[in-house]
Parts: sequence; structure tokens; C-alpha cells
Amino acid sequence: MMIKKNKFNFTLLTIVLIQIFLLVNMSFADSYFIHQTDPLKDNKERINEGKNKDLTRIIFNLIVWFLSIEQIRSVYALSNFGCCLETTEGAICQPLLDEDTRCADGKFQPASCDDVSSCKLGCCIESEEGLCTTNSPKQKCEDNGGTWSEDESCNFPSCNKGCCVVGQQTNFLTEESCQALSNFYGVEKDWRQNVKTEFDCVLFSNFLDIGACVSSDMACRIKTRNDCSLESGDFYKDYLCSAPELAEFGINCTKQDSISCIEGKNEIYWFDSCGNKENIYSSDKEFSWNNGRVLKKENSCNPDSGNINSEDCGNCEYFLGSICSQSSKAGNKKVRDGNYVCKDVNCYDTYDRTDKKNGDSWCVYDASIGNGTDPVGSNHWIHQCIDGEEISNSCDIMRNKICVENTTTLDNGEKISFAGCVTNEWFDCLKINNEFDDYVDMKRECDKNNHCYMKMIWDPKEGTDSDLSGGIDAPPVWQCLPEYSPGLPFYDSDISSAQCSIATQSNLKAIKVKKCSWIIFGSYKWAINPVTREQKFTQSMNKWCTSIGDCGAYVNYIGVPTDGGYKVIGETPKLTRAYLEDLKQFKTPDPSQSGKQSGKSDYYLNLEGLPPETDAGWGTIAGTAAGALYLASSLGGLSVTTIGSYFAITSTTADGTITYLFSHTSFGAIAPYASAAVAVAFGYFIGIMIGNLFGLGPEASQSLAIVGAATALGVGIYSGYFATGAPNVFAFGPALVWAIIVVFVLAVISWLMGCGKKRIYDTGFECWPWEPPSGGNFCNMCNNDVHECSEYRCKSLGDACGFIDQDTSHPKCVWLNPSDIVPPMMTPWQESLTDGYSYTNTLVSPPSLGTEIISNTPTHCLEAFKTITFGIQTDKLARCRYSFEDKDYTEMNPFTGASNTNHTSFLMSPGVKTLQEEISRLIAEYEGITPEDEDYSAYLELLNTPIDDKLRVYVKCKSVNGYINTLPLAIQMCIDPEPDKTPPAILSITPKDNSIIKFDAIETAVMMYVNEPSECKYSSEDKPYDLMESDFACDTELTAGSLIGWKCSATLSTPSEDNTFYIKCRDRPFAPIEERNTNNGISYHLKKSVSILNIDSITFTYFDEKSSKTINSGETLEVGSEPFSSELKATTSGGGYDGKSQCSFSFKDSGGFVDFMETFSTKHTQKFSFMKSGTKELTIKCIDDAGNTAQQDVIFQINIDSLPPSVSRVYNDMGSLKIITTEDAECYYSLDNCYFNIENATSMTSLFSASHTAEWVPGKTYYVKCRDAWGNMVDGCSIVVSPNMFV
Amino acid sequence: MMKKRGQLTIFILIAIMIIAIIILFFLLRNKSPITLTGGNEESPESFLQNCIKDKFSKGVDLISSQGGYVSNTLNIGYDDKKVSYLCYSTLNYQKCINQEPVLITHLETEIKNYLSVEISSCWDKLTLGMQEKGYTVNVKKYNYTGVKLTPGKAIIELKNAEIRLTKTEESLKYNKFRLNFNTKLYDLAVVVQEIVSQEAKFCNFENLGYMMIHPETKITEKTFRDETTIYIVEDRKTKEQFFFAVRSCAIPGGIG
Repeated sequence: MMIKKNKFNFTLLTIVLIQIFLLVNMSFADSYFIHQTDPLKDNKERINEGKNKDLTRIIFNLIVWFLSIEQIRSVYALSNFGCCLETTEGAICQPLLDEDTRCADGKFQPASCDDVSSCKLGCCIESEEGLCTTNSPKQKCEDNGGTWSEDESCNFPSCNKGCCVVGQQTNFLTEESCQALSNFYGVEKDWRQNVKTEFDCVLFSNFLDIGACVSSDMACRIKTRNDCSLESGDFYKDYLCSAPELAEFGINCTKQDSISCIEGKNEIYWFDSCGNKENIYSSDKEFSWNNGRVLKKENSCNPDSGNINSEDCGNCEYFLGSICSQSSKAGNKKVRDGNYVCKDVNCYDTYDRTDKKNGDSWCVYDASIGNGTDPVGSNHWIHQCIDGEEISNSCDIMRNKICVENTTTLDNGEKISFAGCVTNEWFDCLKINNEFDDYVDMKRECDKNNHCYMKMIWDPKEGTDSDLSGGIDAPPVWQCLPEYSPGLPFYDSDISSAQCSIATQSNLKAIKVKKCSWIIFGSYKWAINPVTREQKFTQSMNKWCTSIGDCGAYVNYIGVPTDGGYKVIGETPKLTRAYLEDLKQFKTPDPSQSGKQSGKSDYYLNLEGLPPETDAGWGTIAGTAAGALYLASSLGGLSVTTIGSYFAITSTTADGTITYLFSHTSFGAIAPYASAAVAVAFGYFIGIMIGNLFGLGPEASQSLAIVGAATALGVGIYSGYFATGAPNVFAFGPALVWAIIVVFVLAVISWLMGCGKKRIYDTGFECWPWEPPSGGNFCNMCNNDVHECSEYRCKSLGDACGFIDQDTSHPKCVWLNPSDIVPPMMTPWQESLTDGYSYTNTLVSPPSLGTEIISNTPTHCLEAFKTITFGIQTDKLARCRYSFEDKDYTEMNPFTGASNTNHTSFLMSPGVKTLQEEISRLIAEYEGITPEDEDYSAYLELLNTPIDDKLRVYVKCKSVNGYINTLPLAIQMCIDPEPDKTPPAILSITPKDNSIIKFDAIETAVMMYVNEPSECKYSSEDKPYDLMESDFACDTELTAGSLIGWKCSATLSTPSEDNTFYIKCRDRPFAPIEERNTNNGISYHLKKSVSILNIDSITFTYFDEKSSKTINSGETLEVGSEPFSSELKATTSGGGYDGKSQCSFSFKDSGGFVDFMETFSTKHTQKFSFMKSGTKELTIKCIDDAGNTAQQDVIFQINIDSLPPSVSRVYNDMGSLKIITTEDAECYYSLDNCYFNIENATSMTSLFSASHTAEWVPGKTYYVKCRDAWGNMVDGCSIVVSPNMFV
Repeated sequence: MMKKRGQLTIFILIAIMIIAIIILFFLLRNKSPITLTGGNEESPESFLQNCIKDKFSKGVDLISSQGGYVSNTLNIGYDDKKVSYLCYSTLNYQKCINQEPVLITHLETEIKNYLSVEISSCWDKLTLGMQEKGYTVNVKKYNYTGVKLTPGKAIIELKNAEIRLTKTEESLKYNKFRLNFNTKLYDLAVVVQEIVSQEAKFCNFENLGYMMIHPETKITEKTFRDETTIYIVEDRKTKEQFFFAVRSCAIPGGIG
């Protein structure tokens, strides 16, 4: 083979390679370090294994895998947490990791807080006051005199609230609180447990028996019947003290003497001359007096109106926007008979220029919301009108909660709006992308949640040549994106960088293939990803980027766009100015937009299994169909030619010509035609085969096939006719020979003309944290807003904005240094360098032009495959970027971190030799030389031109006011010139050595990372590398690596209980064999689980302060009230770890699985604080570290017993009063009346039972109250018994 | 006859004397304190009340503005106050843990401790003042039992506070002092406890709904840095405020 040495700019190529290498690695850098901190990574590796199929998904999954899921899950999975009795700040009973320095010295307990007696959480009851507080630590509660109980949600009778009547006022309190309040006011406790809500309790005061209470000294007071009876007064229901009928008793109170407000009441009331409250004020005095009778609110003047500022009616109503007030506090408006008025407490001309009623709440949005359009710095605000004042609160500083609003029309046509903040479930959307590979599954899950939406990012086949696209297996890239993009601390960008990188696609290739439609004539046609070179791809990627948080090119909430948050790679175009201008539209909120609740439980079943409904989706289906058709036709052709070949071979074996064969058969007449057909088919087949062999592409191969068929036909007829002179003789042999010759020659010509060759274009998009506009012109807008300023909001207005006085009620956003117009001074930062490396100087630039990094190795160079950190410092807050050429600042790559004075990044070099090899390989690939070629190694050798072993990194910084260094700071380092002499090292392997694998695992997927590009093999015996039988599939290209190494994977056969493998690797895959290094390998063991994983039991337990009840699946449980506290428990056994596993549960129709609160053991517990009655159908799923799984469905029936026990029978039982109740209960009696406290009464029951006994005392009346185990009890008496009635 | 008359006269005189003695007894008994300390002088109880009043107000203001503590390490700066966390979770996404589950008792203890020096000082001032007015003061015991918070007021009780004032032949003995101060601290604390309980249970408190049912209370929320919420509970009538902080189910920016 003639080899011409091409002229290449090797230096440029070296830089390009390193740059690609670094770009690939840098993207992972932050993610990797975060990942390394995650204690659960090993578990997750197992969970995610075997999922990834295509490159795009692999990259995306890897990033998400590194970042998102691990981070959040680690928060919930508390298995590695202990209990900190007291933090350095003074917080008690906090679950923390043992290495967490926030725990005070000696205060860490290596156990769950629930297992530390002093920190056990429960309900603390302040006995004296009857106040119950949830989630309270045991010791703290008891030390302060409280009574502690285990149900942390306080779901038990003594903490249930009822309506406490004190005088004419009602309060919603526990029974104990009611007792305390009654004691304080010196009245008998009147507590109504059947009033279940606070609102009902407020209304309850209207139903109390009110009337005149005349005492023995002839004083009259308005009281409740109960209060009056306690004072032994005479009660006159519904009478006022000014009623003429009471005058005959000597009551002399003059009606309507004055008016006033009453604390706890909304209305204006008349008062008589004795100081008694009368009826609601009306200027129609006679109507209001009501002949001396109590007039209910609903019968008083204008009951359906708030009577705001009315001169004639004092029937104020808070819910309708008014409350009784002194005139002086209500603009001096007043009713006719006094200085009071129904003050207006509605809100007028609110923030959104509308009038609102008292109690209304509504959402206000700074800017556009939904569809991932929420601008940077924008918030969702909830506004409330309360007592005439408009109050605004942000749902969350960074849109982790969104505002949802509903409007209801009342019967009278009035509209009331109410709003609430709900959690923005953006994270669930990102999680879905990681959990599902299949489009249909992903869409189904995504559509379940209103906080997510599906978006196609790009279609690799869009714009490709129609013939080519059918054969490419590259589905459209869809993502489930957050409907409401979350805020990110872009100004403190470790987290932001990691999150934004989820939307980075830095290693895409757009590929053209030379399509020769007629053997040698052809042109390059797009095969894959042509769209990645178009503006719409960049825009679509930017949409993805901006949707996942404050990333990419976007606007802030005042409409200032910036484009510092992304970078395009290679041929991908940058965003246009028009696009950026267009983003300004999102600063304006759309009045028709409102936040939605996630509605996660809504499941649109009809979507399941249906094709995508978008145009793009149908395009996908069409493309797939085209591909299928292509495949079908190919297979059809193959089967025809195969049959033909078989037939021809059989024939030629018989005689040499088909004519002869057929002439001796009954089919002799058709033999020439049959042989011609077979020859044509053979020629066609040869054309296809040779075309494919030369890699000419389907079109050229098709052409060759036609030529082959035609040649075979032509030659066969010609040779047959001229050789024999007979018209119906077909020369089969020559036909085949010439067909092969012609096809082969044409194939060679086609190959030389470049048919089927590829042109590869680098494309891609890197998503970085959003950059605020330079300077601080807009900082003050944060202060002048109605809405509160926050650091997040302030920083979005300008890079130079500072949020000061944060610890005050009036923090400010200010331009920190407006007069600073000097670019930052840059200094090499010695401390940032990895140990063993140093800068030759640390002079300030300018004026210094640069420095050099040297290592303490003999060569002073950066060792091959060694990662180092390097960094610079600036004299002021700045953003710094670097590149390997002196470029414009906007073209460079960012250091980690946002505006800062310390800037660091990472470097890893493969070494000169490896770089040379990689360059040679790329050139060879470009030239079409493959490893299969005989001269491949020689060719690579020839290409090994020495390359520059110096690498320069150029750094420029931009001050927060936007001033950039004109001259860069250059940091030079040499790359190790020596060939890599160290054998490859296996950095990690999954599953780990000596892992236990599934009980029924015949094969096990193994993935490992090697520290450099290598080839690896394995065997069941320890033998030399070359003799090992099986290969790992390894990433051998330099640019395929990441900071965790180069990936190798294989599926190992694991038939035995104990399986041992020996694994060895050899580096530098493209180097001559004698220069490559082989390691000694490792022995690797996988042991099978002893049995399958079993779920032994699943129980459901109700519990309260006094009792608990447990049921198994299929059983029914009766409880007293809802919501109630309960516990779901599962136990596991078997598997690889004696039952130790991670279990999760899912309620039917409620969506996904949720991990048990306590799991990672053989016992799995989940508490429910607010369980309600009904049929509970659950699925429990467990998985152990070996991958053994178990699943079980259960059903529990929970019914509510809300009825009080009733008395079914009363009789004289051998001289005793015996009462039988309809259910087990405890009964008490009083001899006075039904208004007694059972705690102080005489018990008729020893334990809860249906039979109750008391002494039979004729002449006495027994007022009996019965209460069941759930505390159900009638308000009055269960029965009133007088033994006189019985014989 | 004369004998009988004389006898009757004696009986009448004796009766008059008895009645006079009884009347005198009651007269003297009711008026003696006023006489003892001078007609226009305040009683020892009033003296103590006035003496402690300012310190009490200051203490309640301080404790109310700092989440129920005179000082506490678990706090967040807000204006010049160090507002204590009453419910706190160090971790993100976790419900907060009640840091002061028996709040009212705790408040009573804080006020008691805050006032103990002042009460001692006022007690000394009382005895000194009485001595300066010519009384012989005999103090045997002093037992400051603490503060009791009740709806609308706080009660400070000094039990076994045996003080005997003597001037000329008159003397007076006090055993127990009960000082009443108007404050809505108890009422505010009940609301605070409700908020804390709901935050610990639901990660949220629905303030608008609460205010609609309790128009006398104003609850203001301020979302603060470090995912902290500062609550300000105010009695609309007296304008008394209680500040406290909660960190519950904190969601940090980004994947944190």
C-alpha cells in the first residue's frame, strides 16, 4: 500500500485533543466529587446497572446519576445517620452523620434518634394547660414537666380538640385546656367533643341558650343556661334584662342605654343600663330590642351584608369584610347612636389593581410562569387581605414552592379567591429521566405530574437523508422537564454547576456519509444529528438548560437577558441576538397563567402504550416504519439469493452447468431461464456483499448488486449463445465469474472515490449556571419593589449587586463598587495546586504575563493520567475563564465557582506518547486505515511526529462590573515526554470483589474503571493475558474517559455458588505491542445468595396513647376517629444478606414506590400520622444488595367507629342497677345532672365491657354517661335512670 | 327595785361596752393598715408591683422578641434581636423537631430567672423604705415561687414572704404577695405553640385561616435566609409581639 504522509498541524491537534479531553472531564469534575461524598453510591450503582443503551442516554444518566438522585435520596435514607443530642448551635436531637462537625463534642450517639431514649420523638402534653405539641423529644418534654407519649402526631383522645364554652364565648381546645380555662374564669367546664372543627366551634356560640339570669339578690345578668344554673339563678331563656316581664321581679334595667364592641365578637351591641349586652345594634331601636327578647344574628339587620360604615346597622361580619370598631379607628364614620361603626376590612386597589375581600388570598407572579419559563430571580408570591391590610409573602425564595390559586363563587354570586403555596416537584421530573429509558414509560410517569412536561430536545434523524436514516438506530431525545423551573444559587455555583451540567451534551457528533447512488458518483449526505448544527438545536438545548434551573442564556425577572450560561461546541451555532431579545417577553406575567397542583395521583391511563402525539413523534414512528421496511426488504433479498445460491451449488456439483442438469430432468424446458434467474440473483448478492465489505454504504452496494446481476445475465446469455450456438443455453459458470470480477473492480473504484466514507463534525452544548448582567445599575429595583428583596433576587439584577443588612427586617440590595472600572488583577494561587506541584512564580498579572507549573518529579512535567488542581486568585470579585489558546473571554471555559476571588479547576494529561498515539489513530481513521489493515502499525509509527510537550493555559477574568483583562495570564506546564511505563490500574469494579449476587443469577453484568485507556480480559483461571479467553468491552479512546477512569464492561457467566475470575488489563491500545504495559491483574469473586429474598410478614398497626391493634392482610380494623396514627411493618428473610434489604411500598393508584422510613434491615417500618379509613391496597417491594427482589400485595380494611355507645337494656340485677351497652364501654354516673365530668364521676365499669353495674338506691336519679374505647360519648347523658321505676 | 334597776343598768352598760368593743374591733381591724403606713402611702404589695413593673415589661419584651429566651445559642439574627428557633431541623427536607415542647412553663421559668435579682432588690428596697419611715421591719423568710402565666396576665407570687412591720404598738404581718401584671404573653404563647406544632406536623402553618377565626391575632411570616421562617405573632389590641424562628422541611436551592 502506498502511504503518503499528510501534513498536519500537530500542535493544533494536540491542543484540540487535550481540550476535548479536558472538556469531557471537566463536565464531570464537580459531579464526581459530589458523588464521592455519597455513602449510598454503591447501592445506586447496582440499581442503575444494565439500563443504558445509547450514548446520549448513557451520558445523561451518568450525570444525573452522579448528581441528582443520589443527593436527595441520601437525605432520606437515614441508615448511616446517628443522633446528635445537641449541636454546636444548641439544637437538640438532630439526626446527623457521625462526621458532621455541627454536632457538639461528645454529643453524638451512633443510633437513630428513635433509639435514643432522651431523643425519642413523641407528643408532649403540657398537663396543666392541656396543650399538645408534636414531634417533641422525650427528655426535654419531661424535664419541663410535660407528659410524653409516643405518638408524635398527638393523634389520641386527650389531644383531640372540642368546643369549650366559657360564658358566652367558645374556644376550640383540648379537654384539659378547657378545664384550665374554666378554672381560670371560675366556671364549670363545658366541653363539647362532638364539635370537630374550629369553625363549627365559632358558630356554636350562636346556638347556646342565652337569656336573663336573675339571681337571688334580684340582679340580672345575661348568661348561658349552664352558667346561670351554676349560680343558682333563675334562667329566662331568650329574655333580655330590660324585658318588661322581668320588671315584676324588681329588675330595673333600662333598655338600649349605650352601644359598644365586645371582645371576641364582630358586631356592635346595645347595652342596657345595668351593663348587660343586648341585641345587635340597629338604629331601628324597637326592631333591635325585639320586645326584650334575644334576637339572633341571622335575624338582625342586614344579615347577608358586612354593613360596612352603615349608620343604621351594627351587624358587622368579619367574613364579609367588617368588624366592630371605634369610630376614631375607622375614619370617624359612626352609627347614629354612638361612636362605633362596622369598619371596612376589605382591601382596595391591591397590587394587581383589583379589590379583594377580607380573607381573600391570591397569587402574584413576578413574571411568566410555567412551561419552564420562570425567569431568574422571579418568585411566586401569595397575597392576603386580612383586616384591611394587604400582606405579601414569597412562597419560597427560590421557587421550590409555587403559588396555586382557586376562585369560588358563593351563592350570592360573590367570588372569593384563595391561594396556597405547594411544593414545586421539579426534582421528580428530573428523576423520571433517570429512571425510565423507554419513551412510553417516561411519558406516562411525566404526565402523571402536572409539575412536569415532556419535551423533545432533538431528533438525531431530523434532516438526514431519507435512505440513510432508516438504518440508524437513534431515537429522538426526550426529556421530562420541570413545568416551573426552580431557582438556583447561581452566585454560589458549586450546586448550580452540577445541576446545570445535567443539560450538557458536549460530545455529540454530526456525521455525513458519502452516498454513491450509482457506484462512483455520489455526494455526502447527512446520516445523523445534522440538526445539531442548526440554530433550533441550540435553542432547544438552551430550553432544556433553562428549564432545569437558573442555567443557560436567559432573562432575569426584570427582563435583562444574558448569554454567559452556555457554550456551544464545534459546529453548533451560538444563540442569535434575536433569540436573546425574544427572551425579554418572559419578564411579563401572563394574567391567564396560574400555578397548578402536581395532581400526582391523576393517572391518564389512556396514554399508556399510545404513540407520541406531536408531529415529531409521528415522524419518529414514520422513521421507524421506514427502517422496518428497509430491513424487511433486505431480509427478503437475502433469502431469495440464498435459496438461489443453494440451488446453483447443487447444480454445479452435479455436472458443471445447469443446462446439463436440467436437460436430464422433466423441467428441461425451463432450465435455461431458471439458471439465468439464479445467476442474476447471485450477481445481485455478490454486489451487496462486496459493497458492504468495502463499506460503501447501502446505496452504492445496491448499485453494485444491480451491476452484478446485469453482468451475470449478460455474460451468461452471451457466453452460452456463442459457445454452443444454441439460443436457449445459459453459460452459468462464466456469468458468475464475470459478475464477481466486475463487481469487485467497481467496488475498489468506489472505495477509492470515497463512497461510504464519513465526515464527522463535533457539535454540542454545555449548560452552565446563568450569569447575571455585569454591573449594578438595576440593584436598587430590588429595594423599590413591593415584594421583599432576597439575596437570590438581588444577585439576579447584577453581578455587582450585594445584599447587605441581611439580618435585619430591612435588608438592601446595593451596587457594591460602582466606580470600579479596573479589570481584576490575577495571581497564581500556590495553595490551590495539588501537592507535589508548584508555580515557578506567583507574580501579579498584569504586569506579569504568566507562570509555569512544575512537578517535583525528575522531568518536572505533569505525569501521565494524573489529575491536578490549579487555580488563581483575583484582587476583587470576578469570573474567570481559561482556554488553551488566547481567545476572546466569551469563547473560554469557566473555572468552577461564580463571582469569587478564588478560582480553581482541574487538569489531567495523558502524556505525550499517548497523545501521539491518539493523534495517529485519528489521522489513520480519517485516512480510512483501520486496525485490520496489514500496515496499520507501520502507518501509525510513521505518523508519530514529535509534538510540542508544552501546554499553555490562558486565563482571563471579568470583574463584576464587566471589565475584562486585555492580556491573559498564561500558565505553562510540560507534559511528560516519556512513554507511559506503568501498567494500568483497575480503579473500581462493580459489583465489588466478594460480592453476593442474586440467587438465580446465571450471568452477572460487571463494570469496572481503569485509570487509562486499556484493553482488559478475564478468565476463570490465572493465566497470561494473551491466553485469556474472554474480553471486556473497554473505552479505548482517550476522549472517552472521565475522572473516574475509562470504563470496561462484561457479562460474566456465574453458574456456581462461588465464582472466581482473573482479570488483567493492557494499556495503550493503539501502541505497538512491545510498548504496551500489562498489569498483574486481580482475582475477582462473586458468591451466590443462599436463597431467594422472602417477605415474611406485613402488618398494619393502629396505635394511640393507650392502646394499639395490629392486623394482617385481609383483616379489618376498627378505629375511633380519623386521621389516626398507624404503622406499616414488614419483615424479610433469606436473600444474600439474611433478609437485610431495602423495602418500599406503594398505595394502589398513588403513583410510585416510597422507601420505608426505617429499612436497610430485616425489619421495615413506616409510620403514618394521618391515616384515614377505607380499603388500603398496597404493594410492598424489597431488594437486597445482591439484587434479589421480593414483592407482595396486601389489603387492609379500616373502618371508623364514630358512634357513641348506647344503652340497650337497664334492669335490676339482684339488687343492683345493671346497664347493658351496645359495645364495650366504660360508664359513669352522677346524681346531679348530665353536665358532669366523667373523670370526677362514679364509675360503673371495671374494664371496658358491655355490662355496667351500680348500687340500686330507690328515690335517686342516676345520670349515666358511657364512653367507648375511642372516646365516643354523647354530649348529655347516655341514659337517665330512676330506680323507682322498677320493681 | 333599786337593785333591779342597778342590775339592768349594769347589764345595759355591759352590753353597750360589748357592742362598742365589737364595733371598735372591726373599725380598728379594717383601718389599721392604712393607719400603719400612713393614709396616702402605698401598700407593700403595690410597692413591689410598681418596683418590678418596668423590669417585668422589659423582660417580657426581651423574651418575646427572642423566641422565648433571654439568651439562646440556637438563634438567627433579625434586626438587633437573636430570635430563637422553637422548631428546628439541621437537615434539609426533614420536619422540624420541637425544641421547647412545654413552652409556657419554659416562659415562666425564663421570666422568673430574669426577675429574680430585681425582686430581691425590690424586696430590699421595700424593707429599707419601711425602716426609713420609722417602721421596725422583721423579715423572716423569702420564697420566690415564680411566675404564673394566665390568659391576659402574669402573676408573680411570693409565698412565705414573712414580713412584720411594727410602729409604736401597731404591727402588721404579711405572708404572701401576689403581683398581677397585664400581658398577653400566655395568649401569644398558645398561638406560638399551635404554629410550632403544625410546622412540626405539616411543615407549614396556614396563618390566613387562623387569623380569620382569631381576628384578635396577627401572624406575620418572613421567609429568611437558610430556609428559615421567622414568625411574628401579634395581639392586635395590645400590639404585644412574639418573635420566633422555625426551620422545617427546608428545601435548599438546587439539588442540595
